[in-house]
Amino acid sequence: MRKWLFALVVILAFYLDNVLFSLMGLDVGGVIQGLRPDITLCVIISFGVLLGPAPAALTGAIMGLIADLFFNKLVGPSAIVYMLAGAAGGFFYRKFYADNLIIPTVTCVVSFFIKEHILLVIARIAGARPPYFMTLISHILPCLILTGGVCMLIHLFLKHALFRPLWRNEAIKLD
Amino acid sequence: MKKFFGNKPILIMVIAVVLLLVLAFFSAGSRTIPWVESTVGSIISPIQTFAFRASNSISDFFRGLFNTTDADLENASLKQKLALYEQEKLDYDELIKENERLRKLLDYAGTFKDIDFASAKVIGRSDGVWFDILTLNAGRDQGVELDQPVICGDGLVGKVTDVGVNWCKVTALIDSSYSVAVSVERTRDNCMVRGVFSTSNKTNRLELYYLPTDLTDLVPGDVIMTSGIGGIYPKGIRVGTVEEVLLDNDSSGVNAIVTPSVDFLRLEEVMIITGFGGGEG
Repeated sequence: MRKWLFALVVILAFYLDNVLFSLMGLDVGGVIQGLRPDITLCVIISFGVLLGPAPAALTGAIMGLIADLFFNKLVGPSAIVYMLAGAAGGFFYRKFYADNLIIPTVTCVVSFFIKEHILLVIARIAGARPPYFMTLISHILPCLILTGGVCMLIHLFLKHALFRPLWRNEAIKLD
Repeated sequence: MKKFFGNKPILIMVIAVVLLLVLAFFSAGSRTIPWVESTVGSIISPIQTFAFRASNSISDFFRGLFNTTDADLENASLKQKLALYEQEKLDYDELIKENERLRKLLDYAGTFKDIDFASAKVIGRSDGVWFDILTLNAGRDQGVELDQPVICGDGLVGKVTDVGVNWCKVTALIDSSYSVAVSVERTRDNCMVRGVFSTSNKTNRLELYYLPTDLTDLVPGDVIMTSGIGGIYPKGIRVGTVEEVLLDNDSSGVNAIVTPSVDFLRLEEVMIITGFGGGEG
């Protein structure tokens, strides 16, 4: 059952990020533009904290590769970021209580910041000229805050829905 | 160092990162997609088609929710009433609309001489704001090749940059790394346009540059079309309309701001020009 839920969460995150949100970037008052959270990143980091680095990094690499293959200019950057984010989340596996929301949120915010800067560098290499500070203020920081907030909710949800045994100090198994 | 190489997980991670970097390096620019990627894409493509169409309905719903002007609210209210009482008619209307879009597309394609094309639907868009990539449900099986231009009923959409068996990726005209040789329809001046980076997907603009500023009388409203120079695009495909002229502002090299003729947010059906022999008819 947990395997199916795990798969469902991964597919839902992928769908929201790459299909639905790509149509719905929200502009707020002309200042904040293209506001949308990175659900995939939130899910992968939460998996890392709850499941450990190996499954999270593997899930991140696969999700990133599919997203890159289908939607992005280069194949690889998202896969690298999601894989490393999974590993970073997994670094805290069993080192803190799963109830701790700060760890996944901070990891998510830092990973998002790095991911957006990697994409910015790639965009610049490809010939685009995004104005750095305008992009930082109008897009990266608002999305970063939103992603951090969504990460808290997703981590809470995953902990309750998928990893309840962790509360009882039981070993985590996917099935 | 010995400790590093003794740590298997880190070693695997480093190898994976290096492999992905190599992959990213080789996937830069236009390319024909290898069979592994192509097969994965072919498996996902039908699911993606369904998901994208479903998402269009969801996105339209939310877009309606955030529209707050009187006309939008009235329109939304009327649409709601129509949905309640005439559900069947809505389906019919949808078919009519699709038919109109396809007819417009065919009529537009018919204005070009000796044109061969493959029709396709948009089944995905790039996530994030950094690139404007569209995924279409047509590929090598439909005769699609690299660098072929993509158009819709309103004008130029972009060009094919990656091709799979039954899907392809298109770099949109509004992508900030993309440029096209164009000419001003009224004055016949040759110049270039490129996408302008924007974090909002509602304010797509193009920059017009390399215009002979001392010899032109460019005015807002002038229509910009492909010039045919370079041989990738047939001559005379509509690109956009001049919104603002910046002839005195020579420090940036930009001569004008152009509004693209295509509404990239609501793009559904497109045509890939798989071969052409002449210009506009």
